[in-house]
Order: sequence, then structure tokens, then C-alpha cells
Amino acid sequence: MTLKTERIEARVEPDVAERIRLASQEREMSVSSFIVAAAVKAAETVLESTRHTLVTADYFTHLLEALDAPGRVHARLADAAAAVAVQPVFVVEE
Amino acid sequence: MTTLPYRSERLREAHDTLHFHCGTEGLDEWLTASAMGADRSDTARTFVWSNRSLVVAYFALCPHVLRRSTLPGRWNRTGPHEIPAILLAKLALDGALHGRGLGQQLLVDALARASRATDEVGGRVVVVDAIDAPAHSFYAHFGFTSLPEGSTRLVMRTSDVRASLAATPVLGEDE
Repeated sequence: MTLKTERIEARVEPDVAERIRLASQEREMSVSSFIVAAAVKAAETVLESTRHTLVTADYFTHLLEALDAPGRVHARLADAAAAVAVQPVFVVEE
Repeated sequence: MTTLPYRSERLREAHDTLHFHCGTEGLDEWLTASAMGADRSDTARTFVWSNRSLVVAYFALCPHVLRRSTLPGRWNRTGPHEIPAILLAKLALDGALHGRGLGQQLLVDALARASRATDEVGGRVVVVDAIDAPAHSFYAHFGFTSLPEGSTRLVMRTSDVRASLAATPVLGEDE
């Protein structure tokens, strides 16, 4: 079992605290456990969204079919790359 | 912030991120509070433009997939369900540098690095996360297309990124 060594504090308005207290009682959880469970669930949702983007089957199929076509030049992006070539404001360090 | 050019390099502990202010609090906080943690856990790489150690711009890249939604029906039974991608999760320029057209150079830097990453490990699409409407317009201006249904994300085929960057002999072909 992992030790709980980290402490997170947050200041909230009294009515927010009261709503959290009522909700935690509804779930028969301590306020602390309730807050942590809600925060962990929210954090997992955020982290998961960085790992994948969910798209409809129709859009997925449309995109998949378009992937094998030759790459095309987007003029404004090409112009931006040309600007970097002419007057770079950065040098790449690997 | 007058010494040019800036060094574009991977974020290190030694970088000064505390003085970075892009005008969007969430992006400032992510850089100071989360970027090194994401690097250590290998979930995202953050690259910065620095003047000595002072960070004046940054972007973050991470592996990503476009996933077909799993609604019941025949469409889910055959064919691929995921398209390998790379996510440009963050891109921000210090407020002192706004209005000079440097955002497009930062985007080129980010896409060149994304392109090189996909050269090594694959990835058919570059996904960008637009934090607000102006950011959405910025990416659309350079050819990214919106995902349907009100997503904050836009996409561009990796082949299009390569083709567009290859229009110049400097970036995208430095190996």
C-alpha cells in the first residue's frame, strides 16, 4: 500500500465547502476522501484526453481514406517556414 | 529579451520559467508546475526558446492517437480503430514577444520537431489543442482542419506538414 505523504490544501468559499460537505455525506464519505476521489477522476479525464482524441466513425473513415494521398503544401505554413529560413529568430539545439 | 537568436531546446530544471507570462494563466502555470513532471514521467516533452536561461516561448509534444468512437454496429468490427498521431499540446509565446509574427516561427519549430519525431517512430497526423478561439483561428490559418462536433482540436496530415516544411531547404531536412 502506497503511503499518503503528500498534502494538498485549498481555500474555498463557505457555501462551496458546505455543498462539498453535504455531497460527501450523501456518498457516506469523509470530506477529504470525497474531494480526493473527485479530483483523481477529473485528473484522469484530463490526462486521458492528452493520450487520445475520440472521433466519430464517419470522420475516422474519412480521415483514414485521405491519409494515403500525397502530402500537399499548405501555402501559409510553407511561407512561415520560408520566413524561418530567411530570418530565423531561433537556433535548434538537439 | 533582445539577444537573438533564441536557443530552441528541451526544457531543463535550470531554465527560468517563473518569469514567463503569455497572457493565459493556465499555460503559464502548466509550464512552471507540470512541464518538468511530464518530462520526467515521459508523458510529454517540452521545448523552450531561451535567452540565456530565461524562457520566452515553449511548446509541448506527446504521443497521441485518433480513436474511432466505439458505438455499437458493423463499423466497429473491421478495419483500424486508431490512427497514430503526435499531439502539439501547448504552444505559447511570452507577452513581450507578441505582435512580431514570432508565433508562426514557433509553430514551424514545433512542427519540424514533430515531423522529425514521426520520422523516427511513425505518426500519420499532427493534432493540435487550441485553448481558445484565437488559437483555433491561428492553427486554421496555417492549414489545420477542425475536428467535427465542436472539438477544440484540429489536425493536419504528417505528410502535409513534411511537404509544407520541405518548401524551405532549412527546416525539416537537417539530418
